[in-house]
Amino acid sequence: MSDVSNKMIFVLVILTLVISVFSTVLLVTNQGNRIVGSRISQTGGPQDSAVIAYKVIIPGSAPQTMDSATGKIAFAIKK
Amino acid sequence: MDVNNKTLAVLLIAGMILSIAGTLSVLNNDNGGLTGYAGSTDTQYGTIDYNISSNVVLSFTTASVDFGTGYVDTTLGITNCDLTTEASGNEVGCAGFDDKTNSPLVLTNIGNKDAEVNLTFADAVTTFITQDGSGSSLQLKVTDTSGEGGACTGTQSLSSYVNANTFDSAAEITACGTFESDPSTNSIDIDVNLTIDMDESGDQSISLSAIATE
Repeated sequence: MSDVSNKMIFVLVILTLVISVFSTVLLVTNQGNRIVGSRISQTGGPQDSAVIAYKVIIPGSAPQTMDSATGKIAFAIKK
Repeated sequence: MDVNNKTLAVLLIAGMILSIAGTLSVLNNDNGGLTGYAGSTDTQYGTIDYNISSNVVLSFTTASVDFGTGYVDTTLGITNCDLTTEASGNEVGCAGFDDKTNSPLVLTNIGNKDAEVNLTFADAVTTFITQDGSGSSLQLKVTDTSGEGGACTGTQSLSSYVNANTFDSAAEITACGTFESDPSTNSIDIDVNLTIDMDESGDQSISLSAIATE
């Protein structure tokens, strides 16, 4: 290897560039396949609550509606 | 400094060797290295490491039944009114209350694990309605939501109406021995049957809790 021509050096430089690009592509491509430590979780808990409600009013104070056919308004009589 | 071609050639070859060695070293590193690399001469195995948490999560997707405002219509000779979330039996002897036909509470298991579900009222039901045998009562019943048959299996202590005072003051009752988490069958209806005696009064509400255990 006492006499290395410029042509040989040029070939080696090109080969180095090709290897470098190939290595980079290989690393980037494989990175997409890596799944490490992923976690699927949900918020919330094992308990929830609901509400049941009603309201009782004094009959005389109940909102009354008029029968549109007869024009009469029905009232409930408080005992 | 003059650098002859021989020196350059040696440096380039060394660079190529380092580049190839570094790439192979990264690809074959088992401790947090890249995975999914397929070897050219033999089978290589990548590592896929994931952790799915086991969750039991309940949600009332319909969380309120409000029968509204009204009174017992004694002019009909009836001393109480019957309100229910079911399709039949609504508003017998009642005036002004809202019709809640087909509007039960709906409880859904939105977790990823089947669970036992218990129901309880934290407070005494007597703070909500007398429930003293005079004609007032609060009752609940649990069924699978329409189209979700099999959501509730195992012990079903509320398959027919049960008086709420048997599971109030934090006492629990088992609604479903197994409440499915499969999204196609993970909802149950909790129907309410409220009978209001003419002696009841005021603005009343009570909180129902659903508790899941694995």
